[in-house]
Amino acid sequence: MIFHRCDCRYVPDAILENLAKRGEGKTPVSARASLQQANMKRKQRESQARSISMDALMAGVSAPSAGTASREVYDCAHKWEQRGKRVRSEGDPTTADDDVTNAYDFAGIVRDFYLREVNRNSIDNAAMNLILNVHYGTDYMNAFWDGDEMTFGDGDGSIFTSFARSLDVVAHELTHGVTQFTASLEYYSQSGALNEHFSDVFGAAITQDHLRQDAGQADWLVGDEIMGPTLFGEALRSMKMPGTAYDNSLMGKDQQPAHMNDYYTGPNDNQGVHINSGIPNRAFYLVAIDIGTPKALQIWYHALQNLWPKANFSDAVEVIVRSAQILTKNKTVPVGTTQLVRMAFNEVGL
Amino acid sequence: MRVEFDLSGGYGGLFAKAPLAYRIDTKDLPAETREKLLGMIQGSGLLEGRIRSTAGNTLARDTFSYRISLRDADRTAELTCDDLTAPEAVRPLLGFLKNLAFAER
Repeated sequence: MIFHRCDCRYVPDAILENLAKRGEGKTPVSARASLQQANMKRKQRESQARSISMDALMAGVSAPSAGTASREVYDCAHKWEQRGKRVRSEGDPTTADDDVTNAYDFAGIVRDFYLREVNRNSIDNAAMNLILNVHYGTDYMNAFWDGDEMTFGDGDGSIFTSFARSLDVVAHELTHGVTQFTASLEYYSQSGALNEHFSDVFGAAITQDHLRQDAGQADWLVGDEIMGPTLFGEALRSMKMPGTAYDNSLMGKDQQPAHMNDYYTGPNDNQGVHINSGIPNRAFYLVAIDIGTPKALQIWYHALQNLWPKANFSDAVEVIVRSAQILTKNKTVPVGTTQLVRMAFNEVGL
Repeated sequence: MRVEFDLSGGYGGLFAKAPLAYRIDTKDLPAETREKLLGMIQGSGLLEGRIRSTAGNTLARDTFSYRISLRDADRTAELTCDDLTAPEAVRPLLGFLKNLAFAER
């Protein structure tokens, strides 16, 4: 059977995106909500593509029902299949598997942080359940978000240990879901780097909150908890000083830029989504050092809800500065914050 | 047989600027490694045309992407896939090539 991908919507994405960007429509949220709905439907279509006919596709798929923000942890048993065996559900007692325990506990910390700090009810703000897959594959040194669930490998034992043992990894991946249901930043070039950036921002903020650290005490490292035994002290990224996280024969040297002068323009990594995220990462660090991570996060979360899929760095600066103004007006952040935000972005060349 | 392997992407961004790459002519491998690699290639079904590249999940974030290219005297095969679309039969080959690539670093 020949399957043709159909990108059929009554209102094309390009129009919805412009409405979202200009804040037009009934409310700015409605255009974004439409885009999010379209994206969710697209994901459902993709996941069912092998098993359903074209007729069934054209009939459309229904939106997912609201969940209960419950955690479900699955053991993939080192196979390359998600949702292998459910080993812990919400409220179940602790098991003997540390990765199951860590994934469950960390997902709860992230979920509860979002609710408490930014009043967001799980990933989609509609109590979406948190699906976590551990022990994925063999020697799998990675973790990912795929549109409705998170998946964690055990690492290879040399460069990486288990990815489920790090709160900032769980927070990072879950935040990809939050971005999917808010700005829906497209995963290439600058919008993709922003997508990565917001995941690192929430990873850092949630970790600092959990450890009761302020911005000055935090290490601002991403991935330091999952480094292998011979790489103790190294990390994957540094938000404080991008480009310094690692330098060794096994991993090479950290390639992240800290300034637009070193912006990566090549084609790899979807045009550098994990590379150029260093630039806004440093800007967030500079703001957090001045006003504290919790207040900086409020600005960034406000901005995330007002960005759009193709937003670039300049758009993000404009929106984040605007968010700082709004939150200054309602006294969430102190007077002078708008100027600090501008200075932080100036310092990284934006 | 000429074998080319690229791994890119991932949460850590380690292979962001430059993919983890491996290029080899199997005749240049030690006998045991060559036999193992050729066995995995045969088991993958790539050269028999049983496997085709499929489009990835556009909502996936931080997945690894893979490219394998095989070429000998009268057959060629190329596959691009990611962590979610890699065919089961190809997984052992992907893992083996990844380890060979790391061993060269």
